[in-house]
Amino acid sequence: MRGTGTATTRGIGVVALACMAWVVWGGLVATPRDVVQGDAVRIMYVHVPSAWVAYLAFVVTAVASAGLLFGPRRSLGFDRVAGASAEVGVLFMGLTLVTGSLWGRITWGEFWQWDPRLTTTAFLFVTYLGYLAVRGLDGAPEQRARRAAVVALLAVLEIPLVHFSVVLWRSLHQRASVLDPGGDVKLDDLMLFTLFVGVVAFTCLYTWLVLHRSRLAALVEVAGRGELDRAIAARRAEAGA
Amino acid sequence: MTDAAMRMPGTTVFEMHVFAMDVLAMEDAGFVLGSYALSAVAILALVAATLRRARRLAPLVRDEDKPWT
Repeated sequence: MRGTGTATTRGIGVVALACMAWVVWGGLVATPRDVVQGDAVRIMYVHVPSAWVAYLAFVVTAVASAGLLFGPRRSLGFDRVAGASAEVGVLFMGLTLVTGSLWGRITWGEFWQWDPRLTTTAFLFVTYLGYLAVRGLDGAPEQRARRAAVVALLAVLEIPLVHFSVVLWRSLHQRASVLDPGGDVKLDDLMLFTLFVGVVAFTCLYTWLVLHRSRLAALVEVAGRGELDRAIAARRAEAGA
Repeated sequence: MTDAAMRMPGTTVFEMHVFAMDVLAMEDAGFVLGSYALSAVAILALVAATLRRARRLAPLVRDEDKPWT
């Protein structure tokens, strides 16, 4: 009996754990306090990687959905990856909102402001909750997959709006410190390194989760088919008796 | 571990004590630690739920139907 794990997922898991250990140590102890934000800056080491992974997850959902709708091999495997990626993305988007609120409480004195970045992020989160709800609607597997894929391709258009909301409108949220179009990174080296390790850790974790969850979706499908076959066989046996 | 060993630099208990004191002494420790704790709990919950469900379903499916194996 084999589960959803392989040597690859175990390797990814080990890298994710090692990087996570550094993020906790580096983020809470090794890195210096920020001159302006004080210790609140330590939230950045989980907040920024969470947001990055949520964006990545939703883009992967859109790419897999495009593969299902327009690809040469319209396999339901694309749908399983899209669904798994969206589930993981919703978790990380939720974490982005919560950790951002905690940071906002320290920095702005409020857990929530109807600021362009916060509002568009919350809207993106709700959109993908809707996407997951659409995936749960009744219908044949192919029909459900196509319906969800269309929603995913529309939902991903919100990401540029969220990312550039701090540029398009006046926002309380700070602009990009690392991905600054001017190339001027305003971070201490150790802080930048810890942030980078955090991004690697969360990306590995995302990959691990998507691999396991898309395989789990395949198991659910096959096990469900088996149950259906057994139920049909039992009915036929009853009818024949 | 004796009190003397606990105060001795280089021992695990001493390092953990220093680590804990450093962390708790930071400004807004509740919010900062809360953000790390919430993230860890949410991620671990999803990991545990995924592995538990996979272990429950794996025996019901033949290895031939698991293309990743």
